[in-house]
Amino acid sequence: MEKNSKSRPEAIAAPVKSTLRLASGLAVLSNLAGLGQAIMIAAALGGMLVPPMVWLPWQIALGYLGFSALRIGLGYLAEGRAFAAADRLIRLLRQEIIDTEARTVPRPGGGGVGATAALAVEKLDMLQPWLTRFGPAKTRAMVVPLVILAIAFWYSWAIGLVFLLTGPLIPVAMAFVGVAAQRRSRSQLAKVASLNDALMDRLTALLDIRVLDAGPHVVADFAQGAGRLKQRTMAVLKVAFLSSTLLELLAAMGIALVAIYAGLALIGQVSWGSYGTAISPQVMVFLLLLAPEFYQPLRDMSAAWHDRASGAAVAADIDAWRATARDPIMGAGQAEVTGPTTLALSGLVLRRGERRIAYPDFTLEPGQSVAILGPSGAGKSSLLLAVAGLIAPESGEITCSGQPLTDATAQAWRARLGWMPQRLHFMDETLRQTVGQSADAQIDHALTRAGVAEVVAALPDQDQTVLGELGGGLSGGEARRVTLARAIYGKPDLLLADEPTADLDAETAALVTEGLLRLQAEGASLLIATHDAELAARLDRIIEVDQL
Amino acid sequence: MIALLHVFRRMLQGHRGVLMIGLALTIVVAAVGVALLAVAGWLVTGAAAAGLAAMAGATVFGPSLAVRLLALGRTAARYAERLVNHDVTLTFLANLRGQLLAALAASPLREIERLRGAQILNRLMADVDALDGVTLRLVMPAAAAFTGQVLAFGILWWLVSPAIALAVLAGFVVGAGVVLSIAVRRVRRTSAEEEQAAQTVRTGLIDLMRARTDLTIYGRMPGQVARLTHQVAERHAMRARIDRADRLVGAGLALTGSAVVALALAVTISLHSTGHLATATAAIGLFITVALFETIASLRRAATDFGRMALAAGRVMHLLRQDTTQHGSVMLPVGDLRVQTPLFDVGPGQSVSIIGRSGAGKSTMLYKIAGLIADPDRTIRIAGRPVEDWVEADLAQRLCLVPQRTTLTGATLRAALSLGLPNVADSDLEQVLSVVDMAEVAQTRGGLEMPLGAGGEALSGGQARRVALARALLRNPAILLLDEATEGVDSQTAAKILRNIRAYLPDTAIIMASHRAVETDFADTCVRLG
Repeated sequence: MEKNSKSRPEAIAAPVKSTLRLASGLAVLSNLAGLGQAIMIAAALGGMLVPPMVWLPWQIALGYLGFSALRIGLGYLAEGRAFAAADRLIRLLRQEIIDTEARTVPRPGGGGVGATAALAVEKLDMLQPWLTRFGPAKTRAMVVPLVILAIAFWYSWAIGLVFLLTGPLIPVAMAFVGVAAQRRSRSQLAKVASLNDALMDRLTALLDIRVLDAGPHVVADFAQGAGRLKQRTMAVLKVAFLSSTLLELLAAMGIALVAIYAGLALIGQVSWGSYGTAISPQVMVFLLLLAPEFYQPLRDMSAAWHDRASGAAVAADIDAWRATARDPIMGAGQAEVTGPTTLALSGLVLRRGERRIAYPDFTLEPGQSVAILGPSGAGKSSLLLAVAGLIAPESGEITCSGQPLTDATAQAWRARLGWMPQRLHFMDETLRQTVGQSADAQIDHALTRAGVAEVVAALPDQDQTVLGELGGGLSGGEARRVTLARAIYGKPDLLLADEPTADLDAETAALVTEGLLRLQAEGASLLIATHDAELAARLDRIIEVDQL
Repeated sequence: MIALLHVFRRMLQGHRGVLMIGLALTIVVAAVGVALLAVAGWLVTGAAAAGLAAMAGATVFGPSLAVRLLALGRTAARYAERLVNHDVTLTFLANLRGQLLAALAASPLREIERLRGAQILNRLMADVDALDGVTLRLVMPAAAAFTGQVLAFGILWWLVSPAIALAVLAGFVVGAGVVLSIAVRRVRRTSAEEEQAAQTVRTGLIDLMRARTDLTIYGRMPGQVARLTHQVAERHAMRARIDRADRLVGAGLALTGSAVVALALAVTISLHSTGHLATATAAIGLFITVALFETIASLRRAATDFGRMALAAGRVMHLLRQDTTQHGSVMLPVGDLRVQTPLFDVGPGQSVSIIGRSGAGKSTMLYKIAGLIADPDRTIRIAGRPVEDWVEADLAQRLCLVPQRTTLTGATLRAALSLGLPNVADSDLEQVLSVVDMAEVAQTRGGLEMPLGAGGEALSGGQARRVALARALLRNPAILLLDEATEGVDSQTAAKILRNIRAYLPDTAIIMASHRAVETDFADTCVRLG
């Protein structure tokens, strides 16, 4: 399990691995250029202590500026590469989600639409701090301290020993205090995020809260919950911060030890620690300046630990999304489907979850209307989706206009279909665009025929209203009539309708039924899933699908 | 900027003490950091100078102790500072959400209806998230940087040399000021656009998934994918712009710091060589200058996030500022709660059904009676007084509206029903469930603990409708307003529920906006609007 969580998150970054490695390399080089800055300051102070100054003031200033520019420039490039890598990875993953969701239908039991959208839109962004901050910090923590350690030992085994003893202690001590606490703090931070969900929940129900006069109670309740959360979080943070405090303490003590040793050695009170000859003031200042640099990468890495944790959580979410069972949608091919509109089912078996649904064989002749009758859950809607090529048969065949429904023919076949879903999702577009894709006068005609023109006229922006923005805006019956208008406008050869009269009052149900029959009178075939006996009785044939 | 300050102040009202401690600790940590490096530098250089002059060791003891104390003190202060500032931040974000909820719950109906749109709600949540960083990423680093500069200026002037103090301060203030102001201006617009682009992508993707079947059958899927791909590309281009600006700020600040150190180096060496500056004090100056750089570097994140935060603060402040005060309070008489309108007149135990085509204003009429929409003509009266004159809270005690679209909150049936009524008895809950014919359904799925899913999605439309009805009945209203109360419920059940409601609330005046025969048949009278 531990191994799993270690090897998996990084695997997601495989497509951009080389760029990330380049970024880390540049970050190390930038860090090492910092040694040059230390050399210049040491030279200045050394020169003041033991004249003459090796270089002129402006030379030292310029040298310092040069090394700084090198460090900053390399750092800029390193950050740029890291961003480019992370950005490309995130964009690839976004595109993967869009393409997959467009080409397949997830089986029930996945994360749901809201969760997938949150993953694609916000959560993926959390991969970025992980890849841009934690990755380079980790590489720096592996290289830079070693280089500084070698330099320290080169001049003074005493200072080298200070680094050697305090350096490795840091990860060990962090592991002691940190891991458990950080795990707890991470779950706690997830709970802080749940505060948003709680707020969102209540804002969605604002009208309900208002009409029930529950405002003060809901607000007090929310404040109480937030207060409890804060107390618990603070209790966890008290422990969690100990690990970073320990890290700082070790770093501070390390630096102080180096400073004190340097001081005593320079006065001459301490003669051990170097190799024979006394260490010059320049070198001593240089080593003192290196001390913070020795600990900094480790501290950066520890500071970015949280980024890694949230990045890994996102990687796990992506794995879960990828593991969702999906059914592919047919229709990559370009074959044509011509001829009269016949539809024939032979030996058709569909698989829905764990169930297999077998359908009776039948043929739908051009202009004929058929009711698929059966109780809820018998597989009526699934049959419509299969006829539209959205789910592939487990066995058996669907023949449309004499050709088998396959990847090659599905697209052309669908171009001849109309579709009335039970519940319409209004997209982020105007109502007019929902009905038809053009500025066609036929749209007005279709709206009138579906008996919905008056309703549309009463909307805030009439047929230019974006219903998604209104959070609904139409009653169930009105929305159903919009789908009818869309079907009328499309002049389909075959109309598939899923429970077109369910949940409707008698008047609207009658209106929809008449609309459907008029379409048939104009030549369309109808395939209607329903459990409305009145509607079924008015169609040419009834096919029962309750036998499994 | 002003809105940002307002939000910050308002969220921490009553928590000034903790905030001040947090700020003080932030300042201490910054100051000790500067002092630590200065003393350590002075110790080494001073020791070197003293050692060369064969000075006694006694003078070394004090500074070396100071170094150790400062190191320990800094660590301890840092721990305390983290704790206190996280406390402040958590307070801030809890208050931000709480106050927003309170303000919106009391805001005009128009505002509430506007918030039903998913995009507006998502943007609001994004704004709230953006503001979470105000304390830790903006205020505290700014305080630390400011204090660091002031403190360093003082020490440099007093101990080292006014020339160096001025050079360092001027360098940092001018350099960092230019970099930060350019950054804020450059990032501000783009980060607002990026936020907008993110919401567009979200909406498009949700559309793609929810309308997958529609889009596929009507051949619109390739178009939707192409549009989304384009929007994603646009958003990433904006992100790249923001990142480049962010990196330039980082590099700009770092260059500023380096230039100031280089300047300090040149000035220090020159002053030293002419004998104007002792070696040890020269060291203090250099080390302080180096240390100052760190306090400036933490402003990078603040600069990039500032624009986004300011924008969010403006919008959130606008919502928080809404005038929600109501004046006076008169309890409604328990007796004759008659509702009079130009169209009808209903008393206790009577019912009326308002019919009319969609858009005729049936819902508006109900909202006006409930006092949620203004009735400037003052033609609607309750107990003889125009609704306009009632305080909403008083009215809500005796009147309950079930709007056309309702949302259930809470994880269980019990939680959904008892919204705003924390101490309601189980027997009452069970009774209203049987009134709306939901008792059986509930029994098979865990009774009052029946899980509802997010927003009640585990229920069918008709079931959710009935739970919303039950929720209203629980309040025992004297006036019950129902907007298409039985939508999604079959006629037989609907008739039964309406009969049950009348039996459960025999003395209630019921006003219904309806289009179904079963509802108009139930009502004593029927009036047509429009």
